Amino acid sequence: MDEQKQIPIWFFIGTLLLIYGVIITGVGVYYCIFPAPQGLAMQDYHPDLWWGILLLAIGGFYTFHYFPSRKKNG
Amino acid sequence: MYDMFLFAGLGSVPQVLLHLSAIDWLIIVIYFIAVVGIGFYLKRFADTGEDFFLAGRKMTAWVAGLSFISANLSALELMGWSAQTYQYGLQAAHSYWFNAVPAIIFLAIVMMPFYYICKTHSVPGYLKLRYDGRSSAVGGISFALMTILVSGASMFSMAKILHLLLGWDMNFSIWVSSITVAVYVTLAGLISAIFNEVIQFFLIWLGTLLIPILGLIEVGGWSKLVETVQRNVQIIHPQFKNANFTSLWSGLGSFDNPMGIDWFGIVFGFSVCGFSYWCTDFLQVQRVIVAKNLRAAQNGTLIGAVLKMCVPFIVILPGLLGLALLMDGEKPMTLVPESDVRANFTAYTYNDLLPLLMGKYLGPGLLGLGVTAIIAGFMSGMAGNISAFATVWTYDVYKPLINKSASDRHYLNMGRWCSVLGIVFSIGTAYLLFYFSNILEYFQALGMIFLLPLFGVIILGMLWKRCTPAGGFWGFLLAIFASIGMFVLVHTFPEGYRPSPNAILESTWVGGVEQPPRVIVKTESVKALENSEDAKKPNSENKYVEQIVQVVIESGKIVLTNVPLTVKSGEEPFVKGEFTVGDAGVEIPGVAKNSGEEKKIQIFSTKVLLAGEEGTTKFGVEGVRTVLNPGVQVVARDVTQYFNPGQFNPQFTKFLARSKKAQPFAVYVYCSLWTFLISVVIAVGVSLFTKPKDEADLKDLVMGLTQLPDEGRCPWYQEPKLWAAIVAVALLGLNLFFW
Repeated sequence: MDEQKQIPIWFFIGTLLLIYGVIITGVGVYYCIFPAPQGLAMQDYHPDLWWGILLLAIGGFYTFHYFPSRKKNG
Repeated sequence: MYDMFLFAGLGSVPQVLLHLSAIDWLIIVIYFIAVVGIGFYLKRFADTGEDFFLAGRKMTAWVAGLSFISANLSALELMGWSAQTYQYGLQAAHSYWFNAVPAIIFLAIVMMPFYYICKTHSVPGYLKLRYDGRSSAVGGISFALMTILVSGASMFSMAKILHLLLGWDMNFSIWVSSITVAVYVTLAGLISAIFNEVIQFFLIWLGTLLIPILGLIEVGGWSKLVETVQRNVQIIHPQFKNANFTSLWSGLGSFDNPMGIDWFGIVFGFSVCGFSYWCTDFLQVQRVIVAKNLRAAQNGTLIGAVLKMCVPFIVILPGLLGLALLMDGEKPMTLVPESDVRANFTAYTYNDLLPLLMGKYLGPGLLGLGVTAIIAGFMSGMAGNISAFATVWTYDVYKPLINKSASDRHYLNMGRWCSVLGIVFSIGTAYLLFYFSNILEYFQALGMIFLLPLFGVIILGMLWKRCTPAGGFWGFLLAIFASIGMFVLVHTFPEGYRPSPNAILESTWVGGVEQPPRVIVKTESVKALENSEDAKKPNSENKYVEQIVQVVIESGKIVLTNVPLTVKSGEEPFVKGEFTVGDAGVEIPGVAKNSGEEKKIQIFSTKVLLAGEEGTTKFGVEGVRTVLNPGVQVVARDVTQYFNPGQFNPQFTKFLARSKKAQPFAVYVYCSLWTFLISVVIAVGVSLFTKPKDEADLKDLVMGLTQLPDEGRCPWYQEPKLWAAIVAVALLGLNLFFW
């Protein structure tokens, strides 16, 4: 198995979470401006916005830290 | 008048529980593209058998630990144990804090050195080294069979759940998920399965963690949750009014608790089940024996123990929140088991609990993430089973029994083909499961039959050098037969089992056009709550509600099971056969005698046209007098079964599980304990009269003959024994706190 060239798993996780973070934060911002769908509980807390930001933070950290062109790997 | 509404407002559950938006679909599609893309990327790193089957033995402790726990954290576990918590209360947490975590610590500290140092590629491989080829062959074949059955069950559950949640066609779900798993496992083997398991770990936590957080905020914190749960279970589980649903141990003095098991069963039976699964199921063990060194393997396992200890936050807590927060109007919502005939007709099931909470809290985007977590959970569980199947089949069945001296490339290709064949076999077993109703009981039975006998001989083999190859083989094989015998016994009814009387309404087809049955429901206003305790409360005496007094079936087909019909007065009740109702009409009573007991007759349909309402609806009533109008087609069946895998005969369970009150869960736990004891007793007995292996052949396989490798000094925070002690203390604290 060629370990030297293998991209760390954490980079894949980071990228996926980053993409999801962008989408869900976008939805959260949209529902801050326009009314959220009826029938959902606890929407006053804007969970989509905060959760999207959390995904962005985790995804951004892993993507940056384990980016293939950086020397460090996991 | 016989009975009132089965559920409020002529209950029916919607055809589809959750509705996905375009954003949700986008999130699901991105996940599928990612897992297949990673499979293609990793293919270049799986050039040899060691790469494909053992991921090159290069995993770090974190990757091994996350993969170890993810292989078990399937969607079935998420949905199944939150459902069990709704049913049993906090006692369900024993599955984590008593069944799993102690066993994982034991695996890390006691068993891992033997697995790791002997460099076995699988658990049956260890049997071959410790005993001989006979035990290994039984282990390989039984494990291959079990993984296929488990994988098929996961596939079936996924298809069923996606069908119920999202309305997806079951065949579509089975084939799309299978092809995806086949692609990424076949391309890169274990490394691909492990990568996807680690991704799935993040998706499951991030997709479901919001539910308990928002639920706890809504209910007002833990103490409010406890208070609300205890209040609501009076209505949801009236048969367990005095049970404490938020305690781990205090209700286990007798069998009179929701789980139907006593402390003896939990301490001695359930713990042995945990040890057998976590210490000998190769699907689990494979994840950590591929770590880069023994310390990483042990620490990876302990990381798994810590994570497992946290899983109740996303599994058990939602179950309690469901008891507290799911409402049907002003009353707590009552869910039913899958085996209940009302399930999915007029009532949500226990398994719907997590999706109901998802629908309550998660909007567009977050819902897509939650559904992706469920799909990822199922697919990684399937991939784990398939990669373990490929390894065991190739190394423990094909290589020793069929083709002993092929090249590494040949075995690598065999592993790839096995992955595809494993998927195909799993699809076959998935369709087999269309005939079973309770998947968690099915898994428990599989563990009892295949894992407990294995655990008995493995643990004896590791700890007692005098245990002989003959003892191991006969202990293993005879315990498998004994557990199958117990399984058959508890489901056998020598005097016959008669299913409860019920009727299913079906459409008829006229000229290729579906004609749903037409139904008229007659109600009258009656005084509410008479003869009930609530009627004594102030303000309740003037309450009136609408109750069903009669149902008239105007057209369609009705399939009756164990329902006696009186076609004309004075005639013997009609119990089986087919006919069309004549001019005089036919009446079905509200109750019928069944095995000497009076049972309410239940009538259901997935699709009826109700008089006075537009469109079709699901329909269900029980205990109501029903009239069949002329022209209705009747198919009457008289059913008596002598073996039913979904029912337990208390005549036999009272001996095996120590009480007639033992619930199915308790019966399997006790049968598992007997299976383990049988395997140990036979192995010891046979060993005393047969020749043991030479000590030289047992080096690095048995306690006392195994030298731990010197891996050099490590910082204190990487010391496995320290972490094992910390986890054990934390575990003890949790058990005492929730006593």
